[in-house]
Amino acid sequence: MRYLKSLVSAVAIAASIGAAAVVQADTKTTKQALTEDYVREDMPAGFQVVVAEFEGPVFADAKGKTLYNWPLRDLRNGPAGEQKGKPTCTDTKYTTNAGLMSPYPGGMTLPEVETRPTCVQLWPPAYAAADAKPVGKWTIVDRTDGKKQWAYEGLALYTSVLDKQIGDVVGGSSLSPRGPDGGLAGDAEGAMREPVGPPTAMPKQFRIRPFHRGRLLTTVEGRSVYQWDKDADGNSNCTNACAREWAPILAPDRVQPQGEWSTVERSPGVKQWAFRKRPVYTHVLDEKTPSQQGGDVPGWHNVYTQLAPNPPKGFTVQDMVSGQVLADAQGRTIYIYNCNDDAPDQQSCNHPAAPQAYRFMICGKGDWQRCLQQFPYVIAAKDAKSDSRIWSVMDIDPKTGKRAQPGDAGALHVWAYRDRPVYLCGRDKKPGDVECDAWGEFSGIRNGYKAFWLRDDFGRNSI
Amino acid sequence: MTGFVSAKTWRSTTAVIALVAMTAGADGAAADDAALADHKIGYTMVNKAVAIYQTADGKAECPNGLNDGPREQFDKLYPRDGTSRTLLETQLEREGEIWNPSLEKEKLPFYEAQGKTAIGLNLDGKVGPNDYTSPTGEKGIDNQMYRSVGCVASYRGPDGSYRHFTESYMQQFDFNRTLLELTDVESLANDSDVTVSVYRGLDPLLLDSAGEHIPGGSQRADHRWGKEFIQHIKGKIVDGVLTTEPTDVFLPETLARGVAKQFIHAWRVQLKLSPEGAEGLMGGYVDVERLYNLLGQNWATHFRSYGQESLPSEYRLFRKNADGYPDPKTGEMTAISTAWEVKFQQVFIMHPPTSVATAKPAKQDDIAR
Repeated sequence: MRYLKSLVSAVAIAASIGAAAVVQADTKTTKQALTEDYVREDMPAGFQVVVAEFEGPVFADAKGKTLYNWPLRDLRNGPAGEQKGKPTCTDTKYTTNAGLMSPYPGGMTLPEVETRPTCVQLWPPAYAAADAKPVGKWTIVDRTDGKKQWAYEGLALYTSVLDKQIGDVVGGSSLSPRGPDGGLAGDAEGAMREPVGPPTAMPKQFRIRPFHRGRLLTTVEGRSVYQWDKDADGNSNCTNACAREWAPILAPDRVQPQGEWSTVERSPGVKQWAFRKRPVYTHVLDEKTPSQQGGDVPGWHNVYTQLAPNPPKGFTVQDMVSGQVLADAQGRTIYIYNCNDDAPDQQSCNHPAAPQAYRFMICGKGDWQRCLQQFPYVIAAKDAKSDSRIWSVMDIDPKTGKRAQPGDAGALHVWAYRDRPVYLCGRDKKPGDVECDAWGEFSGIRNGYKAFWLRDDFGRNSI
Repeated sequence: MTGFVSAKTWRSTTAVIALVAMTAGADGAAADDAALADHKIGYTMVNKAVAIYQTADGKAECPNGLNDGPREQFDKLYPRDGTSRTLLETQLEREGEIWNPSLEKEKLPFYEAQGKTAIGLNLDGKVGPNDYTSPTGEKGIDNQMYRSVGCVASYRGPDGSYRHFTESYMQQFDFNRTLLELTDVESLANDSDVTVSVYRGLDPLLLDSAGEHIPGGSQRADHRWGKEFIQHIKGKIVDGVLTTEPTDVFLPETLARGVAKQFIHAWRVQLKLSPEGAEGLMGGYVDVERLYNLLGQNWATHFRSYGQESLPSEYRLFRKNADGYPDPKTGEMTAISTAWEVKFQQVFIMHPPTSVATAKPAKQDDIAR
């Protein structure tokens, strides 16, 4: 609850242009709720920046609903999504698949076609008033229905009907099911909507990579950034042999401190970047970009601009042969279900409000009871509560896979992540097993299950 | 056994050691001496392919031609004749079959490899009715995997897509190496008692400017995450050929998106050794369910279509031809005899200092600071 209060205050502060970085009052909360600073840009009246607890700073409309875009993606058999200045999300009701998912052809009638919503019904456009004027990167584009729509950096903006409260980012995520390194499967997850936000306030030498652990800081080349316990604020103690293994990230000599970024002078005229006052390095032995391997060396840590909210109490982190996964209290690996359909408007099918035929075919060839055996829900205690917005509990009718009312006969009280139930794997026998990872179409990223990876040094899932 | 190096050595000599090795390879004798320093030599796997016996035109082993793959089967099951069809009864039905395979009779034919000749090893020491004879005349060859996939284009040489991508990914990605380290070696020609240790390697393969594998690289053995892969097995070298005692192993799988390992019962190798590399066969009984999941998880229907590989069809043959490790309750065989043709290059294997091997990784609470 304390965190939610802080979040609301963050929204209020952030909404005013030029506000300082969010500061939390409580020490314990501060450790978990440091939020990512962002560039204060001019924006049209009626829009604001909300610092979401997982996605970081995102744009929202006047009601606090997060804004999304739909970038064009090259799928296996053709593109989907939107080009700059050309919104294609309309009130067209699609009834068949498009055949963009190799090797399967198009023209097949979609599940629950009678009630399938249109794109606009799921993704209401951020309409612009007839007299609206462009502001900075915010422009106005013409829709095919004759209306005007706001765009940011040329891509049309939408809200999601799945977002209910200010700070919700349920409609889409910056973290692809493929993982932040892009994986091996092209854009096989489909053309997905992504939350849109202002640039992170950081030097051009750096970038952010979203992970389940949080928003990881890397160099522009993708190398992980580290900090060292033996350094002090404003001073580096890593020299000689240390500096050969941990390469200081040097800053231009004329750079000035900005926000959370400053420099330390390693020797006269040689400046090193510091984030939140501590010098930053790359690890020369890191094999992957980015990597968490440097964090295995005692005293060294990956750097996150914003950590993800902690999972529910009692959840655990398990080592396995490729890294680490999130698990329940018994050590059983948690799985996320991913699904995006193959219609031209590329609707997600991983939410309980969406057709469950996709999931039921993968987990049990249409048999819901078999699904319960192979991919049981993660049951929550009756009084279970989440400390974050990204984790929640909900009631599910296992026969339909859709939401149930509390107390409904046969309903299950289950844990959910981003408003979607999470699962266990019936084949996992011991902590660290991930027998159901990559289970489903395109290794579980198009219609299937992926383990909740926190670290993956040897696969292509999380890092 | 190999001693652990200091942390400083571990971190600083990786690059240098490759240069030393290349310099030492100036003449054969020197290379031999260098390769057997401290009575040990290391190798890293650079290629692996299911052993497939192929005649020139393939007609002897595949008289019906090669099997249909996902695209061909889909077109036959759901002809484009103007019939209105749903996604549920077509694409989702096929994917549901992949992830929930059955042993019901298939609607379409799927052919086993024919003939009595196969490449492989005699895994059980017997000559059974379903065993093959090797191309060199050895009887009792156990390779029921060949019977199952010998007529699937993906597995056939020289450029079946699974073969191609297995090698390609080994070069492309610097993880999941299979390392063999021979210790207590007196001679690469003959030694009746050597120890063969299996590790997962952490480093890229060494290639020349033409993209060809070359010996003399270095590989760090993964003692931190890869404990499950570590095995110490007894072996012997006779006339330059290394053989090992059968041992249950997990081997790293490079072509991996999900579970990056394969479980093999009674695994062993038969490798012609040289100071520069090793080449030959490895064999064992592959756990059918783990193999089937691995194939599905690592290689989407789209990719399997390249090599006309229908997973549900293969599942039926894996289960039908399984010939080892009966289920204690049902008696049904759970594993299938398999042989792989493998190639290794010589590498210098480095072991981490204890502090790295036993480092506690960052947990969720540790990073929330």
